[in-house]
Amino acid sequence: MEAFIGHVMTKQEQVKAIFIEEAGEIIEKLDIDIIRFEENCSDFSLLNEIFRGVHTLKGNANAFNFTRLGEFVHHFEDVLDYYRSTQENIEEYNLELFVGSVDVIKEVMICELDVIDTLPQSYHVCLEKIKNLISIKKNIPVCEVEQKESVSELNDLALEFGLSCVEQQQNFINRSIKDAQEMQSEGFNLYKIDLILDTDCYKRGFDYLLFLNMLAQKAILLESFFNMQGIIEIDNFKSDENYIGKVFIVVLTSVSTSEVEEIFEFLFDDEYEINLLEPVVIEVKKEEFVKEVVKSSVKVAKAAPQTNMLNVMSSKSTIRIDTLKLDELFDSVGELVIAQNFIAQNEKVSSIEDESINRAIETLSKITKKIQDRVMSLRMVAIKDTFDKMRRVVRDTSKKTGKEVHLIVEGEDTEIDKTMIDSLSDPLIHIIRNAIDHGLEFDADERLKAGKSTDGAVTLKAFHKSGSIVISVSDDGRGINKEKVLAKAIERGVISGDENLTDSQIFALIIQPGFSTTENVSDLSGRGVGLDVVKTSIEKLRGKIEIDSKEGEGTTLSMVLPLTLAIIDGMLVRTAGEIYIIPTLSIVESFRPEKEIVNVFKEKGEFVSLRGQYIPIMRLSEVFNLNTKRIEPWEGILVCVETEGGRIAILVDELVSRQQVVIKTLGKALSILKEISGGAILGNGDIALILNVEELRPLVKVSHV
Amino acid sequence: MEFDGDVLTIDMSMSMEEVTEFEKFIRPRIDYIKTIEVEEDGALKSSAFIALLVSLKRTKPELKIPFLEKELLTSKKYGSIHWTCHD
Repeated sequence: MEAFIGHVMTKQEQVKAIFIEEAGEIIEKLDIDIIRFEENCSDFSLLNEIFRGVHTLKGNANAFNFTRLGEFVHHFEDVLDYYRSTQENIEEYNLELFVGSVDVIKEVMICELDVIDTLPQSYHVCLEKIKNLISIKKNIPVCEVEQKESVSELNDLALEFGLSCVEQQQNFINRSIKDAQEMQSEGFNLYKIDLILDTDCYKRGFDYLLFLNMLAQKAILLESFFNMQGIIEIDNFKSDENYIGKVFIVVLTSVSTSEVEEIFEFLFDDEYEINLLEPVVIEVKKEEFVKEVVKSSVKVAKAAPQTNMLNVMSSKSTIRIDTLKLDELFDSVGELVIAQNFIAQNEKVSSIEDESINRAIETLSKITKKIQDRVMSLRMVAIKDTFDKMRRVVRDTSKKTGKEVHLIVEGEDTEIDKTMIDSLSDPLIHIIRNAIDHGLEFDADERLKAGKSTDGAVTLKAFHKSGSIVISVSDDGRGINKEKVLAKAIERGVISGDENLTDSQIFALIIQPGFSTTENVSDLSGRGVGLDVVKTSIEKLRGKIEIDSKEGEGTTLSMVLPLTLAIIDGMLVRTAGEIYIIPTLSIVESFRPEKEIVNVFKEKGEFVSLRGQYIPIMRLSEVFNLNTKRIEPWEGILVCVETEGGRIAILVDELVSRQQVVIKTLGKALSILKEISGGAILGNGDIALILNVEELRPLVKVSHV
Repeated sequence: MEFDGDVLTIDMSMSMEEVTEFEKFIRPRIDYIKTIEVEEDGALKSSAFIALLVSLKRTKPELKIPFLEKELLTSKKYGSIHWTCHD
């Protein structure tokens, strides 16, 4: 997609971009569905779904001359078609082949997009296996399977862009049939009629429209597709001769087959073909039955008054919007909020004693809030798709480690900012691999000895907590051995050994760069790199990681993330007359200290003693060299924040308020100030800087104290 | 049927005979026409009408026929009719 951004796309590029996006979605879904199917390989409706995805991918791939991808999916489709039509049990090694085929599709897609000539070895191996399987199942020699594919079918579709007329029309017809099948209820028959009238049909008094009109009398859906390929140029064209070679009709009607046949009785037998299509049978689970009955009765009720209402096309309820446009919209709404705040908080405006003006400002405020909420919700998507992808990760890691694992997913409907979703996959993969590879016991025997079931469990959970989103990965494995972690940390020089660390501080050591307690480095984890990457990725999203563990019972690693990247929940504080914003996610507590608990250590600075801990005090006015009268800590407010290096207490003059602010990036000149992560425009038009607490360095290194 | 500069406006509800007449009319004039607008007030009476438009488009691809390019006509009388006007 990126290749198309930055210049105005031609129509061809637009179509191709849409294809690439759609193909990506199909492949992502295949990846998820194939794992689901592996878990329940008797679910042939799911196999049908997979088949449809592969079929669409084939059409699209060939349309854009991605012939290598087209060839592969063509054969894969054949195999899937065989199993879905025969409903034969699928052998385990063939299931493995299916999963592997989806991997190959992913790789080949990259090769096609990046125009890489060399295909991965797995392409040829997998394709060979598929061909052999078709040959065995269909009892035909492999060479015949080869021959079938060599038909120019694959290449001739690659026209300028899009599909050929025939393929495009076939797609339309298939879609029409599918729509009709979805609408079909008891008492209605679905027909596909092929109508081929000869050149002199007009002279015989026939016209395709005549038959369409007769069919329309009792149809609730009637769609026809005119094949215009045979139409010649005007020089030789004669209007009284028919050049429309074929018309495909899809009709959903209450009339019987014999009644439909009556409509065409004056035509020759070879001029029409009527096919009664079987309704789609959907298996309904018991608990869903009542719901389905209600749905279908609604369907019938809807269908009844539509007897004369034709052209029922399933209208799309969603549209695709470029995320850049959404971002622009969001920025504009941010400006609107600022402007609205400016009016609401403007002293001159508020001094106007006019009820109608006050009411108008109040209404403006409510509407602005509503717009802001709605625009925000546009960026939110359920985390389900990301969680679904993790099934594959669990499956693959389970196979590689030889550990039986089952994945439990909770809260997959939790919504999260789209921008964050894209950055979450990699951290989640690392954490899950780590949980299986190191979190779970070495083998089933070890689990049995610990009084657990042989299968390990990994729980993936998403939920809201205090205005943040938490995504956690728990395992029911060994738990973290604190002594081992401490010993390793001392050995690596991460800590000196004199510190009095809390459990969570000890657990946090495992995500320090280069830290790993495992003796064996596998290709999955153990290098001490993975969790460090996770930490960095989560911090980029302005989130943090929390670890909780009980030895012998398991470990939970939680990623605490802000609801969105565009807005921050912040505490507005004032120091030396300036307003600063501290992200509330980092704040532990704020208080005015007693004089007795404030201590000054020579060359080490000021500390506040809080519940047995000495927390370094940082004067915000000194961080930014603000010219102000020096106050004592007990005259101001200490805002205690949690940082990677430990807690620090920020001394400010006063707390102003807590509010959601729209984050604005600062220019290049200010970007060198590491202590600042961005800015925000306040209601009165003033600009406040947002603190990056991780970069506030006290005089002494706190190092988990 | 109306001619306005290089834009020709025709009615969709031509009978078979009218389509034949129209074909005779347009054949020698196709070079001078840039756009054919179709008024969709009435009902389509003959499939030859669409076929003729497709033939014109095929003869002169730069000819603009917005009606044809929609590739869809919906009516109570015939349901949804789809066609493709490109190869």
